Amino acid sequence: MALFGKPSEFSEYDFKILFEKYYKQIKNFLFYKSGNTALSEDLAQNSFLTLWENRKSVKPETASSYLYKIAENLFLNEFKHQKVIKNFELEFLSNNILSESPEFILEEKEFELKLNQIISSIPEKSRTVFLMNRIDKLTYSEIAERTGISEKAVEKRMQNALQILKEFSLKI
Amino acid sequence: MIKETNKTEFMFTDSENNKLFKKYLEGKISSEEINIISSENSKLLNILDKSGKINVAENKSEDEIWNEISVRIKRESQQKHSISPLVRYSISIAASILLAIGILFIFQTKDSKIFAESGKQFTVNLPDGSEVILNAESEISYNKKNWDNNRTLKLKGEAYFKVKKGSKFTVETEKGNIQVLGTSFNIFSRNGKLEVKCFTGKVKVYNNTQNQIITPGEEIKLEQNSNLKKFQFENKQIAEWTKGEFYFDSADLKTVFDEIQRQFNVKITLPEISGRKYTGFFNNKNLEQALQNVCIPMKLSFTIKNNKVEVNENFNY
Repeated sequence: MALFGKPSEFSEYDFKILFEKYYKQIKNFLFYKSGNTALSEDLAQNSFLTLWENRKSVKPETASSYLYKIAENLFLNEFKHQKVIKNFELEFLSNNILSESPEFILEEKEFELKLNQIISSIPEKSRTVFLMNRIDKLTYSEIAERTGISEKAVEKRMQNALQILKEFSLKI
Repeated sequence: MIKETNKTEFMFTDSENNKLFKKYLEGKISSEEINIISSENSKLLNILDKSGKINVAENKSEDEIWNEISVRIKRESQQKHSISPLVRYSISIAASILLAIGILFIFQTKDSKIFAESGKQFTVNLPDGSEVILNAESEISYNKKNWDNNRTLKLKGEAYFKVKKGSKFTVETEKGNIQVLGTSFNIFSRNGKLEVKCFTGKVKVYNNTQNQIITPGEEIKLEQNSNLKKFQFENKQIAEWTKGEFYFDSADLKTVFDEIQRQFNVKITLPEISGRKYTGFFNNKNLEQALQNVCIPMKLSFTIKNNKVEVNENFNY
């Protein structure tokens, strides 16, 4: 049916492509903010359903920033009255842990625990930018484009995160 | 320590340093540039690398989320046909062109889809007289017109089949296919699981790597390592769920509550119950009774509000 539709309107196929491209990142984005896996999945799903409902007024080119905007709004609504989880449960992937000594593994686990705490303690906005770069491998300008803030603001937030991690690195 | 903190504060407002860190974080840094920052920041760089190796946990897989979305948008598009006048005009032109080419061909290749919603079960009669009883939240799709040549259908969820004797009859599921000539059997295919029970005749279950044949009283379960393993089961008469009764033999408690959700079309919130097993049964006639059957032996309590159920730990029994 896309053949007959207005050129900017997107089809179910386009929608599936968008889902495959952005679902994980939108879900992660919500997780970086909330620390709650089930909730991030729910809200990410709702973001896509909202996009589908409004597909007539959203251009495919702007769909990604639209998705992040909805996700952020849904997150804000959800947390209007409650505090965000203070302690994240991050899983760190290790490369070749089997070849390492038990002492090393223990040290590594301790280190991961502390790093988990310190990342949880980074203020939400800085943490989100930081993890979008680290985990989703997005550049500063990509983060700016998606979240609708300026590249300067991304830089500021990143500096803030780096500052906290630098202080942490001096204590271990 | 305090002095050092001051020093680092200086560091990240220094624009030269900032540029280098940006390059590092974006993976665009040269080895000479790494040398400049690594002398004073080796631990920090290690932290940054480690942070890049975080695995974000998953409750539901991406496929599950997509399936839920696509069910919802399909239901929506069936309910309302809001088509703009321009599109409608185009469609009428297109339709006449298609008619000229032979519109029948188009319909022949289109699959019929039948979906049993939450809280419903129903029987589907296939063109050859074979019967499918669909459990709640399950879907079959098949080609009506070509059915006599190709008895193949797709199943999502759970269904009981009574197949008329004839050419081979194939059911395709996410995790494997089931093939028979004429027999009755039950397929459970949800959340990455696959379980097939044979009631009469012979049933062949196969996936990419294996191939198993079962006879009445035998059951195939797909294991974690995608092995198809054979088991015996007791009640050979007919799949109990088609009579509204649900039996479990040390089943994951979560799957039991999932079934209650589907049978009564309710939303259940659960405490942490992973790893707990349930043996027993419930009937889909009465929600409260069903919840009692499951909750009491498991030392859980529940409250029902409209179509929401809250289950909690309870040690007062």
